[in-house]
Amino acid sequence: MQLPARLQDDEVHVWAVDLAPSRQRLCFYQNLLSPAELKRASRFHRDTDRHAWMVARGFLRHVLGHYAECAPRDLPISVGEHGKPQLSGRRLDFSMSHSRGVGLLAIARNCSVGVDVEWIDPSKVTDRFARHCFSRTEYRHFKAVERQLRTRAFFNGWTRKEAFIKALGQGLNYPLSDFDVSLKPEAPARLIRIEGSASKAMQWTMHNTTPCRAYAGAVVAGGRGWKLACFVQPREC
Amino acid sequence: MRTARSQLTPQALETEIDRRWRQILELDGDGDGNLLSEDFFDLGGSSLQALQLLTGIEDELGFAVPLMAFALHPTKAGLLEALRPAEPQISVPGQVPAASVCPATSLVPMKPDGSRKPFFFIHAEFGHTLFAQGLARALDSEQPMYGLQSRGLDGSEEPFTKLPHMASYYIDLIKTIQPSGPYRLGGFCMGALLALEMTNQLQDRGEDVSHLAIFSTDASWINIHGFGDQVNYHRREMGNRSMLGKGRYLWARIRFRIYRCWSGLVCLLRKFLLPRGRSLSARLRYVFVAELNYRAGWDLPTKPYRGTISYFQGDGDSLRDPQPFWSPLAEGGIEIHRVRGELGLIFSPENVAGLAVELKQSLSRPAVATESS
Repeated sequence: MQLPARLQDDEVHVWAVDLAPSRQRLCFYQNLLSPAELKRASRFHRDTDRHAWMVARGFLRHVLGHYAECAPRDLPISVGEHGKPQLSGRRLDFSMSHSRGVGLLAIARNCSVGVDVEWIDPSKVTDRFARHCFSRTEYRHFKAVERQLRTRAFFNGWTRKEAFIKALGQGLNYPLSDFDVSLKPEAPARLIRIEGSASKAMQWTMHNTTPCRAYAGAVVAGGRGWKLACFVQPREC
Repeated sequence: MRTARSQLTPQALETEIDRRWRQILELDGDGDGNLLSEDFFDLGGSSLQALQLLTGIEDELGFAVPLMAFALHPTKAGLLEALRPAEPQISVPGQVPAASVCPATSLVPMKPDGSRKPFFFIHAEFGHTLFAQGLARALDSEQPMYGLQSRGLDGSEEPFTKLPHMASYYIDLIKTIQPSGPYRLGGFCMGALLALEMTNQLQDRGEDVSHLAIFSTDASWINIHGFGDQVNYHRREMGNRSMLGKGRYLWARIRFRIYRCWSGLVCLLRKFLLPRGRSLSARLRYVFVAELNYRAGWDLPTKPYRGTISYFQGDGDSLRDPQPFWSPLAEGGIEIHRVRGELGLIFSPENVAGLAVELKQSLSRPAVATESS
């Protein structure tokens, strides 16, 4: 498959990948996994979950190996303190997310990055659930959105929050109500405030990375002024 | 529709949890998902689904399970354990229900991971340890930290009114995490006195406390016995401040006095409500617990600690000398660590990194072998 030449210091690359596993793809990616990863994959109960996980992980190794100039199978991927996977000894930070057959992978040099994608499922969106997921300000914005657009607003907000928490690398330790993101369908993806401070939010940049219509996605990385480049990995590799 | 907690038998609860578990994970009738020990995330669950499961349980069954507790044990068994009704109310202080995966709310896993002996941090007058959460985050990855909060903050139990009773209750709680010494304790303000009281009780039982950390608490208020002392205390506190600073200090004192009148009223309100079978709102309950803590704060531990006290003194605390109060209470003397800030501000986000470094240094000091006399 064609991969871009280099990841510049001021760039964030986001890859969208179709995780539907053809036999050939599954074999290709399965061969890139470490023994520990194969063991992890065997714990999934459903084949669809296992295959999606294996393709996503294999894809991650394939792309990271290219950027890190290292054989995919030998990449030293370890798990950070709060469960965020990381690459030991290299200046590359990455984040991966998948939902319903679509995966997003974000990679950056020199700064923390987080990405999230969710399949838009209207049955998940209830007023009560929104109140639990969102800060007060966000919930107010959510209520101000027209009823038929609320599902989109909910998933905008949720993926943006999840992407930020993944960029921080603190896992579930970080309270969801401590920061505000934009979520109205017409508003650009933005971190508005962190712990009440707009200047703290200025230390991060957020972009919309919706891969296709039925999904919502967001990427967050530290610093300002970096360039976002998006790539799509088609089903045939 | 909301089912009251008490209306569900354990079997009904298990069936109900099972139903929700399957619904959220979209599992069919048989096959996967029957075992209690199956991992939520191995069954294909995402964090959004986890939150959906927990919020549904909280809203419709009335049980709150923190996301963190679920993330540590993401199985049906873990969930049922966290939901298990508390043991019947025991009024004898010091007795606690059996340890479960979701510890009693008085014991807060501020940062449960790490290979070293945990650091136990005791609450101040307000009864909670939220102000020190930044310290837990700033500690290095191998140092676990637990907070101890006042009993009764969540409204399910009666708060304590005496320092020794609180201390003995906290000792039982920390033993669920670390069954035997040497222990590492610390606290700010009232928490400093509680840490010393716990040390006293542990030493009496023949157990060891290897580290006692006191955060910016000179405890000089204990010498205030009359109006004259009060005036002297406040004159000293205002001594080196500018006119504006003096004004601010006085205003803060006045606000504090008004607050105490108000919290006294809340106590009276509770006395009025109790016989009528009603309870305080969550916000007023915090005020009530804080008021009980202010009153208990005068009940002082007196026996000395057999080791060296680590004292964290803010650079704005230079006139608050820890020696008069703490020296007689530390057989191994006091080791002063200078940090940025003043009083509670040493825990503020801009100062806490330096405090974490000093605390780490103090905790890595080998415990001096203390002779039990």
